[in-house]
Amino acid sequence: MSPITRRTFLSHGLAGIGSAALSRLVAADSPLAVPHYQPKIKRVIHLCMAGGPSHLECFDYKPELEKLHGKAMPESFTKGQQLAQLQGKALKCMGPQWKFNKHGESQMEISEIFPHIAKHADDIAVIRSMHTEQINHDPAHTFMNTGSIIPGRPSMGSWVLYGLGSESQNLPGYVVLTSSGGGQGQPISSRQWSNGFLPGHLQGVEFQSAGSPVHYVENPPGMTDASQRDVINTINRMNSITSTRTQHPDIATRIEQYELAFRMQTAVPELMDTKGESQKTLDLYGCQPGDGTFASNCLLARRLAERGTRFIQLYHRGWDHHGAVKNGTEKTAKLVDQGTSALITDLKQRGMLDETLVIWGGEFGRTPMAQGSGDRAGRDHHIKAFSVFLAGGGIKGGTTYGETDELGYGVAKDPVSVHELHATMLHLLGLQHDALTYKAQGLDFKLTGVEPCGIIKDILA
Amino acid sequence: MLHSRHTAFISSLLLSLNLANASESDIRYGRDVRPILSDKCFFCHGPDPETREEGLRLDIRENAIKGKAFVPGHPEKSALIELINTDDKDRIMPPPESHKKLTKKEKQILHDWIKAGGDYEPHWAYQQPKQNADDTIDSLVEKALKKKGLTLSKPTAAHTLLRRLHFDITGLPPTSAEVTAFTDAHKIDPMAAVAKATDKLLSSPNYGERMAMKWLDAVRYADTVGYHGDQNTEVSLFRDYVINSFNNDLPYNQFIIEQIAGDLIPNASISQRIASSYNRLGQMSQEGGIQDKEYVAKTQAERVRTTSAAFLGSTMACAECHDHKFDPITAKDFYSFAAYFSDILEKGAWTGDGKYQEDIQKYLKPNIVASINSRERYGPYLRIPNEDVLAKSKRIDAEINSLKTTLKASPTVEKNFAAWLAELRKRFKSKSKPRLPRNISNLVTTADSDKNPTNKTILFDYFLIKSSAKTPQQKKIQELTAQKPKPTEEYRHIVTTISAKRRTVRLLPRGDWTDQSGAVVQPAPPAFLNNGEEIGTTRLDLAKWIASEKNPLTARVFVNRIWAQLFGSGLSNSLGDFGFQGEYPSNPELLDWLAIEFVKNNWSVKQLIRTVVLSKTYQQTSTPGGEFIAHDPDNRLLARQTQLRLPAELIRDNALSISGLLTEDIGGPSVRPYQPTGYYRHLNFPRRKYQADSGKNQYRRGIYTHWQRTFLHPMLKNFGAPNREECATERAEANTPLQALTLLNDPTFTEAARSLATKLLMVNKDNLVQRAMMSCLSRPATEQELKLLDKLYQDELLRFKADPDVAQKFLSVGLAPYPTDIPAHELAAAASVARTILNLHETITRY
Repeated sequence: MSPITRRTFLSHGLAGIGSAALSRLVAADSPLAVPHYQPKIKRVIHLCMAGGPSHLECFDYKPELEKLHGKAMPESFTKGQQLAQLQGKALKCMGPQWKFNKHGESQMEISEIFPHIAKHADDIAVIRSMHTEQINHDPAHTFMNTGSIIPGRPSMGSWVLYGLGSESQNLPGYVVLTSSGGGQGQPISSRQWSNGFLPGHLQGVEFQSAGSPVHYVENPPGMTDASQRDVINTINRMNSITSTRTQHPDIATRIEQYELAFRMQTAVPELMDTKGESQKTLDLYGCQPGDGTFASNCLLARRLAERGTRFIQLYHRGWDHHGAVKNGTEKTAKLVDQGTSALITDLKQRGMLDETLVIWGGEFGRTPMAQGSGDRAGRDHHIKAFSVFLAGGGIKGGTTYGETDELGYGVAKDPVSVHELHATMLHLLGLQHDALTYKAQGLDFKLTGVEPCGIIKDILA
Repeated sequence: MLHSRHTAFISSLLLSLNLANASESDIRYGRDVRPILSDKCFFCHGPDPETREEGLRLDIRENAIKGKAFVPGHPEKSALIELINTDDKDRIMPPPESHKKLTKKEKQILHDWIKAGGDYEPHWAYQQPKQNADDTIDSLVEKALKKKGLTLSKPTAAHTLLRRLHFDITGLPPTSAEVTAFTDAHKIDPMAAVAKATDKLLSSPNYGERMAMKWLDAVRYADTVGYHGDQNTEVSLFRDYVINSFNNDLPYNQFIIEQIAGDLIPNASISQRIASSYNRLGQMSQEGGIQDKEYVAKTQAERVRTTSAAFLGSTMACAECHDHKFDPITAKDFYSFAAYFSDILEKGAWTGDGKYQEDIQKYLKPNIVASINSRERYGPYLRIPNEDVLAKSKRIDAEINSLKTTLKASPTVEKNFAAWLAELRKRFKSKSKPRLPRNISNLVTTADSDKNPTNKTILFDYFLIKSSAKTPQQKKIQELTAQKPKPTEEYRHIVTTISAKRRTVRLLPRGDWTDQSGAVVQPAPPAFLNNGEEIGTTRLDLAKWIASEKNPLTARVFVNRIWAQLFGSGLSNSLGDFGFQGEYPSNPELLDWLAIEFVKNNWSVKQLIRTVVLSKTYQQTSTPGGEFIAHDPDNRLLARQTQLRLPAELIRDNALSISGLLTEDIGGPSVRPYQPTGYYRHLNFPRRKYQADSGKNQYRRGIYTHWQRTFLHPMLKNFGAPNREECATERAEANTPLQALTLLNDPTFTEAARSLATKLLMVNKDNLVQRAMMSCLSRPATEQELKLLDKLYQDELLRFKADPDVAQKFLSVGLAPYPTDIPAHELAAAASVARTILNLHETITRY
């Protein structure tokens, strides 16, 4: 990139004078060049438990709820509050469906459905006092990912990439992987990893576990790597000739993008090919290479982290347990427990956990009230309280932060908003959340919205 | 420090652009001062009382002076000047926690402005435009350039100009023959040649397609509902309406009225009713558990956002939760605006919880239906007969009926029928019960049901179609039934706007739909734009108010967007925001001139485009040299034309057109080009399987692509097409590796390369590479370029000759047939070269 281009890029990125000039960026660039202050971590791995895991079966044990099991939910909790599918229905308490045990030196209470994650009790910080604004999946995911319910805003991964750029020369800086199973597979929109009004190279790139891992990453039939190389060489030489004639900096960028595309064509298959991983590692994750499971996506997440990808998002669609929350949470937990644990272990043993933030959680929690009855009893969407956990660089392991009331309905102590979670994540990356802005529609937009918002200091080491 | 570094970059850019330079003697409040105050001060000292600090507002002169912010003529006595210059961290303005900082230059401007008297002026976009009739586009641009010591660049080469006109007006490239003819005519009389070419292009039906593209972004047109299951909606008739309107040069003011309130126009035509589906193009949801009221609130807010941005370039969106921070738009204005749309018959939640505000039954008619199928129940729908298809159905029905009459009279057939029925009844008693439609199985299992003539006819008809044919007539009936168009083909549907009982609209405190304590509001336009004048309370009143030449925003906003389409940047480059935070126009006189000219010419879009493209400004070269481009990357000075990468749809159209694959049909239901397998696997309710179109629908223009909001076709997405969940007046441009991968490996482009090679080789083998270059770039290749491409051709020829299987594989991409009498290695090598040229930056750029 020529100095002139870089300069125009910087000024445009920040002043928002025009979006056309942003086309001159290369993917590895960022508007800040340096973070606001010393970062604790280099990257984020967001394990998105899509559907809304029940905090009451996962990380927030409520013995009082058990006592009221089958009895009417006290109206003092629910009066005037928003409900989803339980609207107009009789509201009955449902006690926790699984036992909780104490783990580690911290004696953290974790549900028995997570035997593997429980081993990391002293590595993770659980927040039991999350709350959100949106009670349905689609808008709640949008809020969790973009900090806004209005479609069209950039996702947090794009914001992070905008702030820090990518470290990878061959792979996208923001990658999304998906898996499903264990519960109702709610649809998920590519809006969740959209760049919104930020430049297009900041979008999340979804890798598929079946077929071509990235759209159009494979040569057409009849083209070998060598002939593709010849073609790209010719394209780039022709483009250089045009560049000399028209002197337009866009062409230099286009040439770089063709080089990057070619490198991606090699790097992506190399990334996805986990055959070289030792049996020990495969056993740790409990997956077969390329089986498309959450566990194998966790392994890919580690490989992406090693290769410099800044923001990695793993969606597991399977936590929407309106019915059979007992069996359902167990089933889904089984699909994500070992992979999550293995990822933390693996990052740790490679000395990478300290520079990574792992976020585990869904878009909302679930009601203390039952939906349906008997074995089929489930829980409805719930926005007043839910749990997430964090692990990695800058996180004080063994912390349990915030409390819900005795029935797990509302937050009783230290509420944490989605914006505060975002602000804390940015803080660990060395970014000051209210200074990371982008001008669009006449406003300085932030991931963390317009209201003042702090970071969660007590979970930080 | 980070911030000072950034601001330094910005100011150096502004200096080099010289757009906003102001010397002491020449400070204009609107251009130089308000942008600073608005961006740095109004958040706390502006129109919104909720966030106003110290009771001081700076957006009104009297208040600012009364609040002792400044003393006109005396910067040294002005608190404002002292506070922006102080070192005291507790007192400095803007305060450090705002992360806003004034540059030295900005401080100087504020100082000089107060010294000169601190005059204010009304916001440019809210004033009536003015025009000096003697001016022209060129005179206004040249006047502005002269101030900077610049002049217009030289005219561009004829072939470049023709290609530019083609991409800008129809979006399709010229043929080599057209280039030659134009170049010859241009030599003789340039202006006449351009005028003739322009008129020809403006009268092409492809013009409407080109113009519709950006409009559909603004009115958030898509084929699916966007939220949650992202089911199909039915709206393609609206797209066709937009195309036809541009082609018929429907005056823009009428175009506005028809979209917002076409249904309310007395004796509305079908086309006008289709237009008013504009109101129903927003996102909808069938997600279980959503609440009607919440989605009523979401829908009404989205309509305000889109209508204000698309037609008025106003960010009314900001006033949903509070009074606007910068513009004089109040929260009450927001909800009063929303109230105009409260008559639209619809649900909030398209689930069990959702309710129409009135019983839909009373509005249903043969051509107004509540749902199309179990998933498409976003009623009401307007049903438009597909006349040709209906005629065919009718013809087939008549033929079938006459055959039936013959058969019914035949004792043999009667016997066959009885045997068939008896057999079915027997099977129902056995273990392997036949699977039949519910009504048929009911009749079969009811004894003697065939004694009733009506029931017998139902059974007999079913027998004729489903039992194995024993007579030629029955065989014919079965053939005819198979040929009969599906009911879905007989009609096209569109979600429609029906005016019903108004819903009550309240001001929602902080935008919270659960809070019903706010006052009920009546429909009214934003007070500041209307000077309190009453305009009526129907959507038609609103539409006419927006479409009025007295509205200072409407024409300006539109001509500015057309300018952006023809030059890359708008004259004000905030295409969707003409408020205080929007950009002061680089050439306000030109923007006004265009707006007035547009209205004078009866809002004719074709005339507007003709006027612009016939100017010298438009016809300049876009390659004036690197220094030039570096100093003014967005071409705000207009001392040249702009090099513009083609928008997503046109990249596709261009490749299809060059290769001869393009199907030039206009309109119709959306189509499905090749798409990577499994791309829709995250969709549910119902699950979706993508079936790419075969036949001519595979090769339609990009504008007809099925627009799945949650998973937009990856080719369109990679080249920056918006998913249209919301109004988009600008596309975020980027230059990414995914674009390179798309052009290299998307089968559409590989197939286009083979078809181009075929097209060229069908003529002969001479000058193959040269002709390919000419087809793609409208210019011959240079020696140097020819050498490179020839080398590639020879290498590929050898490779494919050595391994014919590989050649066959490469040729096998795509559904289009190709001739087998051209040797495979020759065709493959030519295709490889064509693919290379289709990937060139120049191929996807309009110069």
